[in-house]
Amino acid sequence: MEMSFSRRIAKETEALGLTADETRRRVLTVLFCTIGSLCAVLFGLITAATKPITGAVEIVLGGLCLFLVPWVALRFKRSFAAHFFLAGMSVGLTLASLLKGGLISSPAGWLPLGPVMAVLLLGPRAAVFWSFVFVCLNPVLAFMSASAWDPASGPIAVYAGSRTGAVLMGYLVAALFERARHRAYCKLERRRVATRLLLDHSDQGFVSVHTDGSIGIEYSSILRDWFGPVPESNEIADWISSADPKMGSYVGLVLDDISDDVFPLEVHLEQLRVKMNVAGRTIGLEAKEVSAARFLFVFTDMSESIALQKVEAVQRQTHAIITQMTNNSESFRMFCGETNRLFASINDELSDELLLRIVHTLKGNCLSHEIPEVAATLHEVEENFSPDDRHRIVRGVRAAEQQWRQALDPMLKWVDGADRVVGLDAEELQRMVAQDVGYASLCAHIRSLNDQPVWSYLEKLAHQGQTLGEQLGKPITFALEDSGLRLRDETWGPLFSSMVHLVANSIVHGIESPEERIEAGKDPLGLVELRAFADGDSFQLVVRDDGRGIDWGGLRKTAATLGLPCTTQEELEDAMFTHGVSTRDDVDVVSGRGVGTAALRHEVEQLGGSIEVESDEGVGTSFRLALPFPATRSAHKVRHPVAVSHESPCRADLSVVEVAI
Amino acid sequence: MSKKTVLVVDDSPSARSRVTSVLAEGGFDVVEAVDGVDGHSKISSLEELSLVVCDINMPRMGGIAMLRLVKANPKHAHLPFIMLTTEGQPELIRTAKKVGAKGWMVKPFRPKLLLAAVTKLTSLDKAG
Repeated sequence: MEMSFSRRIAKETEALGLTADETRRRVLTVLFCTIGSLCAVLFGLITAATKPITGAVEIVLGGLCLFLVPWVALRFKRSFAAHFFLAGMSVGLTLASLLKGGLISSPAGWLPLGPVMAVLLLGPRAAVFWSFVFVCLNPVLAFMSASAWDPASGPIAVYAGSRTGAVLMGYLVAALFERARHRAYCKLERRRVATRLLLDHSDQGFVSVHTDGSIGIEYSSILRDWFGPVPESNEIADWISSADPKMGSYVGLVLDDISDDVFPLEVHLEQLRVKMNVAGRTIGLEAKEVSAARFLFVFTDMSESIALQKVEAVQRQTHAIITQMTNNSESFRMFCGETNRLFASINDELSDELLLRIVHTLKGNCLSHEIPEVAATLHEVEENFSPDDRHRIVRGVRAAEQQWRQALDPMLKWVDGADRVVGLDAEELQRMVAQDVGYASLCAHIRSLNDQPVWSYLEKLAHQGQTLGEQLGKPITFALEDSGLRLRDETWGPLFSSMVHLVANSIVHGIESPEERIEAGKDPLGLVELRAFADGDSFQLVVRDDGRGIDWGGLRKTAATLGLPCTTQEELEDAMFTHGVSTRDDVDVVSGRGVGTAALRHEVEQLGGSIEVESDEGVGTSFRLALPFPATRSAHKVRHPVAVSHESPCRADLSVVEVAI
Repeated sequence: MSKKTVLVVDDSPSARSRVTSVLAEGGFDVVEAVDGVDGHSKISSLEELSLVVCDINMPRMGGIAMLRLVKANPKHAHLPFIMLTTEGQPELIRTAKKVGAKGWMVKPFRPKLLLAAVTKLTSLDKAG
């Protein structure tokens, strides 16, 4: 009975926030009182056989004490209950002693216990009064029972003196013990306070958890901030549940498995390595085994580090995108186009198989183009794919799409700052207007729309070349590549107009007749490539044919005839673009006077560019025009991702505007 | 001593191959199934099966439905199951345990730990 009672007191005192010292004294008060009262009742019962009235009084007093003191100790001040008990004890022992024969009676023999109990219940200092009372009781008893004293037992004063000494001794021993204990307690308390200080001022939350899932006594106060007060059940799972029910339930499951010994412990501890959402913060959990029956749960607020990681990841991603745009712009543009198309193609009507395939393709593409964030989201969608929850999948994909947009948005900002590259697609303009992306990028885009797509120039050239080829009986395939560029017509139009001569040259002089080509082991269809691209700050135009190559001998002859220097290769190349120089003896409508090439050179020089010629006999000729972009914002390059094909190039949705400074 | 056979049921080929490679390296014979229906027919046809590692979300028949079916047949009721799931699904795990799953693992798992779990369950099975 005492044990459960004392446990209850201990619990209540703990709830009241009392110190361990106070708790112990409460328990002792109740314990002493119970034993003392029981003794009184027992004594009363024995006495009642001979002296019914005295016995009854003792029983009533003892019984009263038995019920009153614990009640007082629990309801009121504990020291009050202690004083009450000590008063009862001194009065009770005095009365009993007087009834039983005074100083030499057995109840008087219990008097040295008085100061011991007083010290234990009140502490050495507060116990002085009651110790004094118990010391005084001996002379009082001696005085009161002096008449009945047997002189054969020696002088009563000596007897009383020795009894008083015993009582004093009781006080001294108890006080010394209490002092030593108190010192040890203070030392422990200081250590506890220091530990508490550490626990309460750490960003991490610590709590010891028993294998049954119950929470240990000590825990960091930050856990109370995160999860609220410790729940009634004292279970860690319930505590976590009050902030994150799902994770609480999860932790409970793992703890159940641990007590069922399902897997090796390391597996379960790994299962406990989870993150939970607590009022918008991400709290990570790590469990460690600290003893056979106990774990240490360490909770760490990861919100900031996660936010930092995200920022770093975005920065890395942005860096990767910029690198790819500059180093491998063509493939990156194709990737952008494909990604946009794939995202747009996802809807609720798709079959599971198709949906998964698209998600998988998207993931793979994002991974290979270093967009890990989007890839991770798509991976999650793929991993959790469940046909019953289409809605969730589509939601996941939309989240990935948003991340994808966010990954490109920094590019927009970057452009605003450096005025260089803008990512746009056909619907992008509307979005830009709706979202108010900023005047500069909007202007850049709109300005670029006024410019001529390079594609249209190339197409025109190819058309002219094709017609010429047909006239000459030389079927020709044109391979075009415009890199999605747009250029201002006033500046660049004349250049493209004179380009027609270069193309005509290739067809007339370069490409052989189908018969010759077959004889040379070539495809009867001639090939002319027209490629336009931006290389750093210059615009490059390449015209390449797979014809017979330049007849350098014939050119040298013509140059010599005209009195032009023609000894070195450079001089020869120079001569080729001089008015009146042609490798042809015959002159026809389209080609032969060498006027066209001269006009082209003039245009190129006007634009501050240069022409390079490469020619392999029997293999083909390549003219490469390198032209700097003007140092104004008048030249915009709008890129359309173009799949280069000999037949019909297809354009993807996304275009990238580059504004050359 | 002959190798123990483990059945891996998962509709995702990549997830399946991950489990298979871990278990094969750990010295198990692995049989694969693509969904609950396939898994159930393989359990019925295979003689010596020590354990089933089974995804929860699958087309045609999910992991829990298959588990229920297997546990209903006294011949296979003893077969231990490890369910593969994601950590956000404690309710599913609870259901699976109620139906009779021995244990569960969260995807993605660490290979060493999956192997430790499978080894423990298969050795228990032998002892039992």
